[in-house]
Formats: sequence, C-alpha cells, structure tokens
Amino acid sequence: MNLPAGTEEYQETHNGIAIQGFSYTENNIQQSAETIADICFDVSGQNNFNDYIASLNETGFNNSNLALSSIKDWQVGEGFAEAYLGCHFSCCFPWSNNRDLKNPNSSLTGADLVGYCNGQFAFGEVKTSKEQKSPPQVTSKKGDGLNAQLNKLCADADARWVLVQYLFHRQTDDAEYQSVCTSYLQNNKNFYIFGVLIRNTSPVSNDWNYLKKHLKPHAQNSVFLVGLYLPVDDGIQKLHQGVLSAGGAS
Amino acid sequence: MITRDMLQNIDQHWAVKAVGDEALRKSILQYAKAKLVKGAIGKQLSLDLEDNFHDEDALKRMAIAYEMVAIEGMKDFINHTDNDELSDQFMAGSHRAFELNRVLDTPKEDDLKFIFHLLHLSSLAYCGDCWTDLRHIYEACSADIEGLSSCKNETHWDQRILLSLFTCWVGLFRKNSWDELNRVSSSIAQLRENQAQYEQEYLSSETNAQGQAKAMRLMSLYHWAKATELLALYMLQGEPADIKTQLDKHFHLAIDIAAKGGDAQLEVLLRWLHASAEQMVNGSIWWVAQTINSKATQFIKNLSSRVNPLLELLPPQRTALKEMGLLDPAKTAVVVDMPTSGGKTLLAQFKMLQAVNNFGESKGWIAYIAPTKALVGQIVRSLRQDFSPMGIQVEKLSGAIEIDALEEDMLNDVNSFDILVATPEKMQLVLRNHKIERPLSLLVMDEAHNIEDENRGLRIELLLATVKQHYQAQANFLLLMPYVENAKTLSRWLAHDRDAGLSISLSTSPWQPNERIIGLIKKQEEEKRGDWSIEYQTLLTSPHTIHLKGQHKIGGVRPINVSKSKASLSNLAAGCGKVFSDRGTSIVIAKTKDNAWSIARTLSKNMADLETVSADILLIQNYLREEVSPEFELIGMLNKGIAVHHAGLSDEIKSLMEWLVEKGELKVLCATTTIAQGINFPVSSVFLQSIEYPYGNKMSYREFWNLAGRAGRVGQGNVGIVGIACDSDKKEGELIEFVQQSTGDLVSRLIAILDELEKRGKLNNLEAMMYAPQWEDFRCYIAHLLNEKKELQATLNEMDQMLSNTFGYSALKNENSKKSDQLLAAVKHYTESISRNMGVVAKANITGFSVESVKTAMKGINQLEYDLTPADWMPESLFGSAKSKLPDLFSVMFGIKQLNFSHDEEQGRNQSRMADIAQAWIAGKSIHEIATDFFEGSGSKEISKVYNAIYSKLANGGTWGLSALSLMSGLDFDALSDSQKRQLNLMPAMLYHGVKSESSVLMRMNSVPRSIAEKLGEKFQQQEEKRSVAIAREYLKGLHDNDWNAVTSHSEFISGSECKKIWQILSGNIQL
Repeated sequence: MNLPAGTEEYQETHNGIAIQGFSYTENNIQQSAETIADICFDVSGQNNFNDYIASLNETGFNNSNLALSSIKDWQVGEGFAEAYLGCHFSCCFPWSNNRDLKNPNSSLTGADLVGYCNGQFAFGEVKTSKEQKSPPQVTSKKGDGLNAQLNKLCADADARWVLVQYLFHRQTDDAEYQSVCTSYLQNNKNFYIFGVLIRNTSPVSNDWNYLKKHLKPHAQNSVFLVGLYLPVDDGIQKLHQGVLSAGGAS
Repeated sequence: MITRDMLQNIDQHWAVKAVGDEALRKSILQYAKAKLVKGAIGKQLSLDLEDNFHDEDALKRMAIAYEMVAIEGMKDFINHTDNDELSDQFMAGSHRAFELNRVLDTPKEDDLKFIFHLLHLSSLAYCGDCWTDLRHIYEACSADIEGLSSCKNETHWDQRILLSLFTCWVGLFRKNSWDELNRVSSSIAQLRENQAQYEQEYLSSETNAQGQAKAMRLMSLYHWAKATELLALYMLQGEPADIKTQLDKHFHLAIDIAAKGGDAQLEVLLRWLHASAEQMVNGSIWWVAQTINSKATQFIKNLSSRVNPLLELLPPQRTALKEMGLLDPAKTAVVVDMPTSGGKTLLAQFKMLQAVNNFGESKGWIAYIAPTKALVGQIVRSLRQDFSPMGIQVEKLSGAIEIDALEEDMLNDVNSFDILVATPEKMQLVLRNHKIERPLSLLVMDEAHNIEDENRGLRIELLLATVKQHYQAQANFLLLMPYVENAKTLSRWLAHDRDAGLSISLSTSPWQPNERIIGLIKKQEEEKRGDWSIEYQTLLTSPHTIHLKGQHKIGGVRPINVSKSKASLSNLAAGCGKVFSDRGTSIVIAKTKDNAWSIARTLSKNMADLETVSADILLIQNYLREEVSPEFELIGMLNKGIAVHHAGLSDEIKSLMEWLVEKGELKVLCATTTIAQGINFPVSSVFLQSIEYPYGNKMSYREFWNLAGRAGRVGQGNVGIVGIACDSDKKEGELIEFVQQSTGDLVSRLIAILDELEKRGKLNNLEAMMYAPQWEDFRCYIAHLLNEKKELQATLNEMDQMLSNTFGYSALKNENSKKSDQLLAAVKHYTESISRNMGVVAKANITGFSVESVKTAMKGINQLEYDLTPADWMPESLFGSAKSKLPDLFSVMFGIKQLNFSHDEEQGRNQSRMADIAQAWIAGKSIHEIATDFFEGSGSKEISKVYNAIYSKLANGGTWGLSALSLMSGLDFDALSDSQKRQLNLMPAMLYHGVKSESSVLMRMNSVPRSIAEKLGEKFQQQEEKRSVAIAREYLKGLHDNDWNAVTSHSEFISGSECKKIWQILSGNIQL
C-alpha cells in the first residue's frame, strides 16, 4: 500500500497528545485514489442487502419498508484515514471497517478504525468536515463528536473490549492478534488512539483546540490527533470523485 | 460438563498468562471470591476487602482474558466441530469469565448498557454451566429489570424491539414461570403487529447510508426475535424438532447482518446469545424425550407445565443423560456419584420411566429404596405428584419390618403399583421371601453410600447381593450417592458382565449448586469484661470451597446473651444460626436430641417473635396442639420461626418442619445429624456444634460433605455458609485436617469388619467371631442362601459363587485371596452348623431374624408358663385386655438382641411398662397423656421419650418382634378363620400406626393424622365395602370439607379444613 504523506503543516504535543496536520494537493489525491478505492470497494465486504431482505420472510416480519436502494454507500473519509494511518503511522487494520455500514444511533460502542499499531491495539475515529469554522463542530458535538468518541475509547474498557472481540472474529493472523492482545491484557492502557479530521480548509492547529481542552488521554504518547487537509473548497468532493472513478475502474 | 482438568488447561492459555504470573492470578481469583462473599453475606460476616489483594483493574483484565479463551472456542462449540479441546476451552473460559464478571459492578445508569451487560453476563453463566447462579443476580437486579420491562414508551423502533427482546431473554434465562416463557411468543407477535406503526418513521433518514444501516439493524433484530420465539417454544413444548438448525440459521443471519451493519456490540452479544441458545437446547428436558419414550414425553410435558416449570436439566443431569449414557439400555448397573443437590432424583425418574416403558407389558415393577422412613414418605409424595397423572402407580411400604395383611394384599395385586418405595430392611423382607411374583425390572437405591454405614451397611450390601442372586436376569440397578470415588468398582460389581456396568462420577467436578465457605466458629474475647463474639475462619477443603484470609467476626458482641464463660460450642452454633437466619433458614446441628432442644430454647430467648405468624405456622401449631400436647414447647418456638427436627419427634412432625422450611417460614431449624440423610429442602447455612456423634464416633467425611452440601442449594443464597464450632487448638488442628481429607472409596462393611478383626489378631478365629452382633446381617444372609437351596451340599458347593454376589467378598477375592478363603471356610462352617435344623432356618428366612434370634425367641416362648392360643394374638386381646400376654411377649423380645431393645433409657426394659405404653398408644391416647402417664411429665424431654419409645422401640422392634413371634409360636394357621388370620396379620400394623382397626390403619397408611384416624376409618368402613390402600386414598381425595369437619368436631384445637390441609401436605396431595 502506497500513499503520499502530503506536507506537514503543524506538529505539537499537548498534554501527552501528539497533534499533527498534513496537507494534500490535488496531485496527492490522484496518487491516493486507487489505494483508497481498494479499501472502499473491497469485494469481499459487499453487502448482500437484497438477500437479507428476502430472508425476513422466514421471521414473520414484514420486509416491504426495508426494500431501500441497495446502492453501496461508503465513507471515503474513513477509507482515506485508514490508508493514511496504515502508510504513515505504522497502523494495520486487518478488517476494513469501511466494509460495514454505520448507524449513528445504533449501539453503545463502535469505532471507525480497529486494528494494530506497533504491537498494540489501535482504535480510531474519523470525521470529515466541510465546515469553515475552526475548530469544526464535529470535534465538539455532544454524543457522536470526536471528543466524545475519543474520550470514550480512552476511558471505557468495556467499549474497547467489544472492539477487541469484534477484531478477533475478523483477524486473519492469529500470532499477530495474540501478541497485541497479550500486550493489552498485561496492561489495559496498552493501546493507541487516533483521531483523524479530514478537512477542505487551510491547515490550522486551532482545529484541535476543543480536543486539547477536553480530551483526557489514557496514557502519555498514545493518543494521536491527525488533521488531513485536502485542497480548499472542493478537496473532499475531488477525493470522492477520484476514489469513485478508481473504484469503478477496478 | 466442565472438569477441573479443563479449568487447569485454560490457565496455560496465552491470554490468561498475559495477565500476570500464577501468584497474581491466584490473588485475583481469591479477590473475586472475597468480593462475592462480601456481596452475599457482608451484613452478617465482617469482611474487609482491603485485607485482600485489591486490584479492580487486574480483575477486569483477568475477566477479559478468560473471555478471550472462551471466544477462541466459541465456533467449535456452536458448530459441534471435531475439536473437543476448543469446545471444552469455550465452556471453561466462560465459566471463569462468569466467576469474575459477576463481581464487577452492574452499570445501572444507562439502560442500554445495563441490557447488554446483563445479557452478556447471563450468556457467560449459561455457557460456563453456572446458570443456577443467575437467579441471585436476577433477584438483585429485579427492580431494574421490572423498570425496563414496563418502559413501553420508547419511541425508537429499534430500541423498542431491543427492550422487548431483553425481557424475553430475561424470561428464558431465569425461567421463573411457565407464563413468563409463554409470553415470549406473544411479545414477538406484538412486535410484528407494531412493525407497521413504528418502522417507517424510524427508517426515515438524512442519507441513504444511514437508512440502510438502520434497515440492517432492524433486520438483525428481526432474526434475533425469530430465534428467540423458536427457542422459547422449544423450551416449553420441545418443538420444532430441528430447533438447532433453525436457531443456527436465524442467529447466523442476525450476526451477519449486525456485522455488516457496523453494529459491533450487537454482533458480539448475538454471538454469545447464539452459544447460550445452543447450551439451553442441550440442557432442555425435551431432549430426553427424544431419547426415551412416550411416557417420558408425557412426564416432561407435566414438568414443563407446572407453575414453577422444570424446563432445563442441571449440568450434572445433562452430563449424566447426554454424555454418559444413563439411559443406555445395555447398561444394567448404573452408579451415579453426584454432588448433594445435583438433581439425582430426576435422573432416577427418567430411569424409572424407561423401566416402566420397557417392562410394562410383563407387569414389571420397580423397587425404590430410601434410607429412612421420612425419606420414603418424601420420595413417595414427590413421585406420586409427578407420576400419578400419567397412570404410574407409586406405593410405599411402612417402616415396620413385617408385612401386614394390607401390604400383602397390595403386593399380590398385579395392578396395585408400578413403583414400590421402602426402607432397605423392609425391601429385604419382600425380596428374600419372593413376596412379589411380578418381575423386578429396576432397583433404585438412594443414598447408596450407606453401604459403608457401621450399623446398616452390611444389610444394604446384602440386599443388593440378594437382588443379584435372584433377580439379575431381568433387574437393572441404579445406585445414587454423593462423593464416592470408586463408583466404577460398584457398577462392575452389580453388572452381570464387565461392559454392562456404568459409573457416572460427577461429585468431584467443579460444578456446584452454589458457592460455599466452610470454616471454624470460635469464641473471641471482647474488650469489655465478660463480653464475647464469634470469629469465623474459613478452611481450605478438598472440594475447593471458598477460602478467605484472616478471621471474620460473625454478628456483633454477645450474639447470644450469655457471659463469655457460658458461650459453649452449642451457643456458638446457635449464635451463628441466629445471625445468618436473616438470609433464609439456618440449620444448627446439635450432637444430641437434648442439645437440639436446648439450642432451640437458647435461640427462643435470644430471638424476637416473628412480626406476623403465618397461616402455615398457625396450622402446624394447631396440629401439634392436637396430636402432641397443647403445652408442647415447639408450639411457642414456632412463633419465633424456630423449630426442631430429630429422632425424638414423629415422622409426621419432621415432615411438617421440612415443609415449613420449604415454604420459607423458618428462621432456624435445630436438628441432629439424622437430617443429613438425603432430605431435600433448602437452607442457606449450616452450623455444627460438633462433628462427633454422641458416643464419640466422628462423622465420616462423606456424611459431613453430604450435610455441608445442604448449605445454600440451587435457588438459595449464592454463598452457602457452613461453620463448625471449635474451642481448642487441638480440635482446630483436627478439624482443619478433617475438611481437607478426600471422601475416598466406598468400602464394604464386610471388609471393614474383617480388617478390624485382623487388627485385633482375631482373624484366625473367624468361625467363632462370626457370632458377634456385627455379623448378624451376614448370618441372616447365609441362612437365606441355605433356605433357598434347601440342601446343605448344594449350598456349600455354590457358596463361593453366591458370596461373590456381595461387594465385599468379590473385592476381597481380587485383593486378598487368603482372607476371602478364610471367610469362605468360616461361612461353610457356619452353614453346616445351622443346617442341622432347617425348620429354624426357614423361620429365620420368613421373619428376617437370624437363626440365633429364632432360637432365642423359641426358647423364650417355650419358657412361658402357658401355651399361646390364637385368641391371645388377636389385637383386642393383646392391646385391649387386662389379660393381655403382651408383657410376656415383650419379655421374650427383650431377650432378642436383633430387635435392639438393649440400649433403652430408664425403665424402658420393663416389659409391662412397654406393654402398657403399646396399649395406650393403640387405644388412641395422646402423646401428652402417654408422657404424663408413663414418663412423669409432658415437657419436651418426656415427649421425646414417648416418641423414642414408640418409634424406636414399638414401631421397629415391637412390630417386627410380635410379627415374628406369632409366626414361631406354634399357631396352627390353617385352623384360623379368615377373619382371625387377617386380624393377626394386622396386629403389628396397628401397633405401628397407633390405631385399633383395619380401616384406621388404612387411614394412617394414607397419612391421616392419628387423632382423627379412627373416626375417619369408621366413616370409610361404613361407606366402602372393598378396602385397600389405593381405595382408601381415593376415598380421602373425594372427601369434602364437611366430611373433615365431622371428624374433627370433638377437637378444640384443629378444624376439619386444617386437618385436610395437614393430610394434603403429608400425603403429597398438594398441587405443585
């Protein structure tokens, strides 16, 4: 997997949290599209939506309302974040969470990214925001804002345990999983947290101001906040188009 | 079922090892147990967790580690792959994960979190074979559960479904009632109805992606709902037959869709619920229906439709039935070694149904042997409740060692019973004398470990040998016992060939009905002069009960209000009983009957009256006023929830005390060790004054564990507490060692007696030693063998083979042939000596006496200054006339050691006094009157003496002796009229039951209280021409309240309806 690193725009450490920002040019987007598309259009992760709807006939429940469009929805931001962390932060995500849908109100726990990093579990949340304001509201929104999600991952061992199990059922390398899980069982602070913000604004570290104030890291040097800045105005759209056409090609 | 090896194996798993070294992991497990104890009995027992290892974080990591272990094997478990190791790993991991998770805090602040937590915890319990522990957890959370279940206003459709499914699964997990499970179907149906109303609104979303994700979530929930509906239906009705396939399909879809919908938590939960559903079906009683027959199906239908339904097998039951082949028809001798309260009775019931089914056409019958009269009554009640609706007839024989006319009628009637329940002594008489012509299809022996009992062991072993000798061609064996390590040896002994024996050994498995702590209770001096308190010190035990560090105070200062110097062992035990009575009934075990009374008195002084005395207690109090005495001490004690239970009370009173315990009416029951014999009632704690019997003999390990096993049974408090009072360092050392001993192999009394003789250097003199009292049962057996063969040489020729039917001799032949040769030689010598008078041998066989007893009896009869005439034997003469020969007959009986009149108290060996008591008893005098007339008072002590005289002497030795003497007295039976014969045959039964007519005996045989038996008997006689136990039973069932009132009108204490209720309780005619 190969992905341009982009240009580092800022880097700082606050309260043991590493904060970095990288900007991407249109050229960088083109260079990345195929890699991201591989993640977003993973055939093995295709949903058998219509089959599932048909299967309801055996449950006694009605399936007429559920016959929604079966067009695959996908979140390009998460695919981008997954690819970026994989290439530049020594992360590995054995199961692309992007294969699965996201339900905003569904469950108590969940994370956009679940994988490994330097021999430990890595949990990540990704937000894509077209908002001009800094910091964007996606970082501070109650409930499903980045701050709430990351704080939960840092503090809630039960939530993490669900993710560790979730990964177990999907991992393909027993030895690697064992080694990472061993580290976690030795000390349940042995994990990394990634918060990724994808923006189409000018790179400013102020984007992290809310989190700097409110995020309580579980350990020093184990939480990373990464800003990925696409070209101003239409960067997100361009990434979307690029990935879609690369996905279509593949 | 989970084994200790499986638990040890998973400790080598990488995830577990990752948590820390062995010492740390041990500390964590210990800490979890301490937390459990604190949660359960923290109010009664001071326990400072800070004293222990205290690392909540490590506890959580360890819980996760064990769950990781489980998850690795989950697929193999659900899919029944060939990899048993992973399947075992799954169960063992779940077991440990549950043990740790159950002491973690329950998240109650967030409904969703609570729902997921409880379902997850329940799944761990289910998959780890700990589901019986769930009841406590559900009780603790009941308010939260109810709060959620009644929350109908949830607007989000998905949450509405989730809530409804949560309620359904709570029902499936706790199985509180049939209705609760039956509601599952209607709940799911309701969801289907509501779908149209709520679904569309829920699905409307800003983006297509969101809408699709929501649709996925709903689809997952719908499949889960369908699986839930199917599971509940199966648990209730055993349908559909392909339940596993169907569950797999819906769970796989639900999980797959949840996964694709990005719903990690739902996915993880569904995986656990899928495994739980698998386990639930595995343990369902319906599974058994598939393997046996139509009778079993009907039985299971009845069990499952009770108000408190039995829907699921306990893990040991499941293992015995499914994994170990309890019902394999090729296994003719099955020995089940199972922990106390592991549910042996149900296993016996299935085995009996199989026998009824297989031998029904040939009119086969089943012998069920229970060790005590009380237990015989209890078993009959319970079997009748379960089997009567199916037309399977259950009858019992009285505890009297003679077969009266009514019993004889019953035994001869091919349609009168399918299952016959009796004590070993009575059954022996029936079997040796071939009283039943129908084929014996199955012999069930409950509490069969009594085979090693010093007094009765040999008798029991020889009973089994008799069955082996005469009935092996068709009879199967089922022996039930706790804590026996050599079950296999026993099954091989009983089986007709090597492969036909089956032993099911589950006592040492880690499954226990609940957690227990065993410890010493010691007196602790307090600062203030004269003050004291109780310290509890848990002990390390062989069955791995919970061990806590340090000493812990039970209750406060002076739990019993006496000074320190008077805080005796019995007061220590009483104090504990009082403190722990807040949690449910405590049993305090006293060394003697007098001790039991005095502990009950101490407690009465130290405990307040019950806030309200329930109708049940009032009922029993009135019964006691009527049957015993209005001044009976127990009546006042019951106002405080205190009762006594020992051999100085009638079987009826003991049964009623047990009934009060079952009803949760008693706080403390003061008993003696006799209570350990398989009494099936629930208690939360057991405290022993001592582990010694009155004459200094120590309780056996098996007896102790059988007793300790009663503490905190299934459905009781989640930690049972057992305490043994201790007052010296020496005793402490002994007790520490005692509870660490393993229960060991069951050893034949025959071998034990020979070993004792060898130690005393008397083995070479075996021929002479064989006349000692401890050989009496053995001598009876030899006489029986000789009587069967009729001819000396044939008997001698086959003696080796016949003796091989005994457990002891067959083991001896393998282990020590020199000793077995010596025994054989002595037996042959004895056989030769008794063969000289075959008439005596025949009398011995028919009476159950030894040859020596027969000789003594005949000598005694011959020494009478007159010849006994038929008239002398008639009940009205014997029990009602001034010229009664009863005193003389008692004089003869006192000379017969076998009748056990020897250790009588005070004037008990005064023959005329004993005869007078017998006459008063039969004449219908109350216990109060007998006590006053013969024991100079009517206090508890005197009443105990009356009961002792009646139940230990008259009902046992008296009835047996009179019956035997009548057979030896030279009466010409052919010359007697039919009526005389019947009267003669009924005479011992009248003495046994304390009534004076045939019809009243029938009433008593059907558990009618003695005080109204005569009157009711008269009514019965007037209304029914035919008389049998079954007809009398039906007659009683048909009586109306006014019939009962008519016979109690004379009583100032008890009403007709109360009498009826007592009869219902004692006869088991109460609907479950």
